[in-house]
Amino acid sequence: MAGAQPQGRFKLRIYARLHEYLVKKLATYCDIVGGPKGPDYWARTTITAGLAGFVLGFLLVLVLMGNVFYALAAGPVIGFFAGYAVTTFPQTAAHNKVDAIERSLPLFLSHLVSTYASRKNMRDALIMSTHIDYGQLTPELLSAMRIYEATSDVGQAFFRLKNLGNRYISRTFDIISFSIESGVDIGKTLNMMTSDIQQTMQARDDKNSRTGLSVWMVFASSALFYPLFAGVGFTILAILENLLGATLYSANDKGLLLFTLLCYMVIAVCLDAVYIGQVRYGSVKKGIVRFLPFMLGVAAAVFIISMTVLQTVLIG
Amino acid sequence: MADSEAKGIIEGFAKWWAGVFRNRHVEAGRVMELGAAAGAFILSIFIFLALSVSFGLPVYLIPIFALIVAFITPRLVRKTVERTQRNMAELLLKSMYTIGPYEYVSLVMGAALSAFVLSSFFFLSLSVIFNFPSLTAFLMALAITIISPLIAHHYIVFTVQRRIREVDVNLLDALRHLLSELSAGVPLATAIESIANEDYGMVSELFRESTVLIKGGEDVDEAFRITAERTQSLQFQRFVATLSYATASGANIEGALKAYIEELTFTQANEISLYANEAIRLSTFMVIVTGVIPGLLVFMISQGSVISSIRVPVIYLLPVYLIAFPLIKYLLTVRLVKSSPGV
Repeated sequence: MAGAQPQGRFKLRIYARLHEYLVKKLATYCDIVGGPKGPDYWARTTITAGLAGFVLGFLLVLVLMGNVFYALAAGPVIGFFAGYAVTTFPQTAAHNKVDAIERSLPLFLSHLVSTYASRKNMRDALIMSTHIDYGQLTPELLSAMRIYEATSDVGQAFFRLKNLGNRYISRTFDIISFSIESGVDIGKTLNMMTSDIQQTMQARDDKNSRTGLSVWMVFASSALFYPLFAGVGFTILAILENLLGATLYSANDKGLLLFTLLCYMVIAVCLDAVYIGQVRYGSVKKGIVRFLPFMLGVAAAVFIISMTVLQTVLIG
Repeated sequence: MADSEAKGIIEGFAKWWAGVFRNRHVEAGRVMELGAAAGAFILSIFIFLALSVSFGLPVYLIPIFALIVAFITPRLVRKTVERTQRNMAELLLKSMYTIGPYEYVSLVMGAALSAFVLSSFFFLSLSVIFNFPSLTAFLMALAITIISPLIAHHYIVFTVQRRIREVDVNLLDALRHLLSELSAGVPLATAIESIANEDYGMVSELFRESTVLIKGGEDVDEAFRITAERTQSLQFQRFVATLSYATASGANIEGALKAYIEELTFTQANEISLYANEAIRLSTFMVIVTGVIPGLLVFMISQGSVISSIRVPVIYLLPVYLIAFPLIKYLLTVRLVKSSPGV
């Protein structure tokens, strides 16, 4: 396995420990996503992005503010968020894959039930279903059926599908496994399952469509409005000082003001990401994984752009 | 974070803090009273000092008033803690927490102590970096220390209520599962066991308790009636009543369950509509109070310093941006999260 005996492979012990931690953290998600990019690749990319973020953040703050202390403080923070943003890629890909499989379940189950009704054999019905394109579900199904044909072990064949962390997917393949093993007719149960999943997805879509406006408003409040106004307000202070030729606030006060504004920006974005995750996906974690890096990126970009554009236009 | 994860973390912290206080033979409630007295004394000195400057209150009265406040505060705190402990005991039991009122008070007290240490370090570091008085940093840390037990209490209540609500959120899915098992010809006791073994959050926990009782020889309806006393969920209690009626009258359980599921589906659709309205109302308020106003405040400071020559000291903004605005945002977020339909 990638990441085995990492302390022997890497010269820096801290790098090895971080690499090992990341590999362990990301292994589940990479396993769900599959493909050539394993946890080792993402762990290395995360560390590289973190280091690159540190260097770029340090240089950016040094160029924009001309203060080594601020640059030293901002570098690790930016590096941390850059690294964290990379770890969210496999996590988001895994969540998306599970969602895509869940979305294809009603169609898959409808086809399966109709085939099963005519053949009365779950194995045959499943093999027939593997010829139809259900998006992300088809390769998983193909792989499961290959294992089943080779080993005749239902548990082993559907292990991956049952452990994707989705209630409906695991229940569907529990019932299918039960039918293959026992030969019990589960046509009616599968029909009910199809209807249940369909109803849940409709309710979820309905909720998402109705709460979409409030989610975007909350997103805009911390990632757009606040950084825009704060950035412009802070720059206007410098512009007014420039026009008046007098110092309204000392450099120390301005530093404290900027620190306070940035701190609130990060707190606000974190809380809003939690809210969006809970409302949209019913999970705080998904909000932090899917929205936090994006929102932080947007907020930071808006803040910097609003400051630099105004400064360039009005001061030159 | 899943509710079960939050439950585990809260229980872990509560037990750890309870252990800390027990090992040192310290009563957490007593520490809270003493802390409240000290905090009230310090804050009242500042408040009465401000009053004496504004309204000409004699200076010698300040320590006398502060001492009176410091004397009264622990009694009020004791009464509040006792009342909260009584309310929390039942709430914790109904949400299947394994911590009691003592652990709860320890956690709240622990949160205050941790907040004091961390915020003191944070604000004192800022005072060194940005060159402002250490006393200001200490007062800000004190403000955080006073707020943190309230936030800790609020968060625990929020988590407990969410666990109770988790029953309503997962019940529909669990009952659909139960119905599909029953329609496949699986016996009721086995179907209940399979729900208990699935991941339906607190519904599975309640079904697990019922399974234990059924295996111990109780009837299905009696087992569920006993279990229903452990939750405040009206929907679960109505499900138990439906099940009891169906088993006692010999009616078709599947039919009764199907009718109840349809009713729950309708309720869920209504909840989504209500939540959408609430979300729009609160999010509009949130955008203005925690998005636009904090942004515009900087404008006002920069413009105000030129137009009306009013220079607001930047240090005044620190508690506003780092305590007040995040607190408002947190409370609004919690309110929105609490009422989310959880589909």
